[in-house]
Amino acid sequence: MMNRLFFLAAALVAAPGRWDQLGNEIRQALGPSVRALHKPVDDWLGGLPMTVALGCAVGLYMVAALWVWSLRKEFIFRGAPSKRWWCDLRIWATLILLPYVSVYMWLE
Amino acid sequence: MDSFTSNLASIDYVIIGTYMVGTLVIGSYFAKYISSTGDLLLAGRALPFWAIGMSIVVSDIGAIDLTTGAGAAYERGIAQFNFDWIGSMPALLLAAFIFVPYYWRAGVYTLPEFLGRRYNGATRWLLALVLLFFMVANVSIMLWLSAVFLKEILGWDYVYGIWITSLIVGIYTASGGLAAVVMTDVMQLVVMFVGTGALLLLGFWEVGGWSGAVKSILAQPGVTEDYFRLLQHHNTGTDYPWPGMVFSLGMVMSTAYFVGNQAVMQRALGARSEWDAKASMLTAGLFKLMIPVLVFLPGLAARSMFPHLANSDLAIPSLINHVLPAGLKGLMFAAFFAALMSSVDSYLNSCVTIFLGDFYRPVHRQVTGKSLPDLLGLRLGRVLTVSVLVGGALWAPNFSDAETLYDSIQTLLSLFQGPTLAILLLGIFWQRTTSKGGFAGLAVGVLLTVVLNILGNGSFIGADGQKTTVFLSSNASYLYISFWSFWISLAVTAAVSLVTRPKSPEELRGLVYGSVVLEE
Repeated sequence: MMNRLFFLAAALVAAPGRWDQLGNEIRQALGPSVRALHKPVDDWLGGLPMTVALGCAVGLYMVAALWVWSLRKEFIFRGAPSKRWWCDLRIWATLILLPYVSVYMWLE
Repeated sequence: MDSFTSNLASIDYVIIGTYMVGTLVIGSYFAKYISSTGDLLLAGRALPFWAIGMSIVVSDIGAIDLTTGAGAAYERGIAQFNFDWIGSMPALLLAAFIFVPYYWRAGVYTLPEFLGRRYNGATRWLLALVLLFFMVANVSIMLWLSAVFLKEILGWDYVYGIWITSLIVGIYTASGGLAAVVMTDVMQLVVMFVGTGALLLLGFWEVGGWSGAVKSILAQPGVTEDYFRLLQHHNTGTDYPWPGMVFSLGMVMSTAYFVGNQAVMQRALGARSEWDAKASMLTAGLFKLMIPVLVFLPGLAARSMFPHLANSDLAIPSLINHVLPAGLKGLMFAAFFAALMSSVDSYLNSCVTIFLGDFYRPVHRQVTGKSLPDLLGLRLGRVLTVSVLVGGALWAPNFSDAETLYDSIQTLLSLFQGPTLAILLLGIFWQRTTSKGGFAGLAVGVLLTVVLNILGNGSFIGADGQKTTVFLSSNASYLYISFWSFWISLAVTAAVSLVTRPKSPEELRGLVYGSVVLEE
């Protein structure tokens, strides 16, 4: 088995053109079935309205913001130079997320 | 870039020279603070959040991004912006509040080291090997690109350009370590922002502002409203369909990039406190917000001014030659060089850290039965820095087809991003995940991405006898490859874990979610 692998590797290294041949053979052998698996996903996504796309993008930011606010205060402030509000990284995260959400709303 | 050379004035050369000398002086200044391996590789854990945040951003933006990123915006419109918007902030939040605290509290130097503790040595070495190859290749490519720039601007021979860049970066990285890398990055980000900011303002001034650019671009044949849409429909043959952008880039690729990239995480591990480490990720998120505006948006000004360029990558050079006065052209070149140097120094430092931390240190302990002495580690780190740089410089001329090889590096990234994220997430959030499960998930995932890359980057004859491709858009196949490899690695890791023996709660203390975030 190891010998066979060694000779296959040696043949591929010695003749770089065989990489393309190997690639083509793999594509021809597996391509149709992988495409058949992926096609229903393509079709389903293609039928969704663009409001879903915007909802998913903005939703990703909103979920991130909500998750940050669910974290414990002690965890957020651990190692902070002060316990005042300006060291609260939840506020930082929210303020930084706002322009991100705004540009997606504005440019869509 | 060809047209840069003939239009440079004396003042431009003075600015370029000042920038090179300034980088060398600032970088070398930090040598006096280096007295141990920890100082060299993690800056003595004394870095402030703002410097780390800036350093992460500038290391991430290479000179290729400055040209091809703007070129892609010129060609495809503002959907390109997603790479630095949805492709960064959600991931940086996860990095800040989940992964950074884990790495920080585990006191590790490298990501493979963390995975080694959570899983086993085999997982550690497999990932270390892949990362090492990826980073050495990156150093070589960036050195080659530096040589191309120096050839175009100053007319230097390629070999001469490679060694001059290696000398400058080598001196400050070997002597000043991570502190020098981060602090020169700060200067490089400022130079980059000033250069690109000037190009943006003068470019849009020339085309009558944003509304003027929109009007003239929409008047061009073949351009639709979609050009100004961030999210593009799935079935319109676009390179950037929205599901790929949101689900693959926004959730998998970007998270894997930021939490699985040694060059990024090493900076956070060099922070002076856990709070600084977390805050550095948020600072990076703030600067990332500006990247599409400063780096990609000039591509739209170029589209408005030069609608018929033969190659979209000429967008920025054309704009520079047309709108920038003498002095600012030199500054813009310094910005390009800054982007290159920051990538070289970052990957160089991380390469040495992985080699020392994941290969030399464990072998030394195995052979001698003792820990690596600090002074020896420091000397070895410096020797390794020079060695990797020399190796990278010797390898660099082989990357003469740089653009294609850059694509290859992106493909290489997609080989391990999905699987690495899968085993990291399961390892942290599911105590039942076992060592064998983690290794199986990583190995099967990497193998799968190789096959998917072969399948996705070419066509085959379908059932109807027509040529077809696996994914809807072959140009964006890496988006789907990362997505599927992530989920399949996740499934394999979980399946193997369920039939193998897990570690005890004592062994997992400090390595899983409950013992870091919930137990304060």
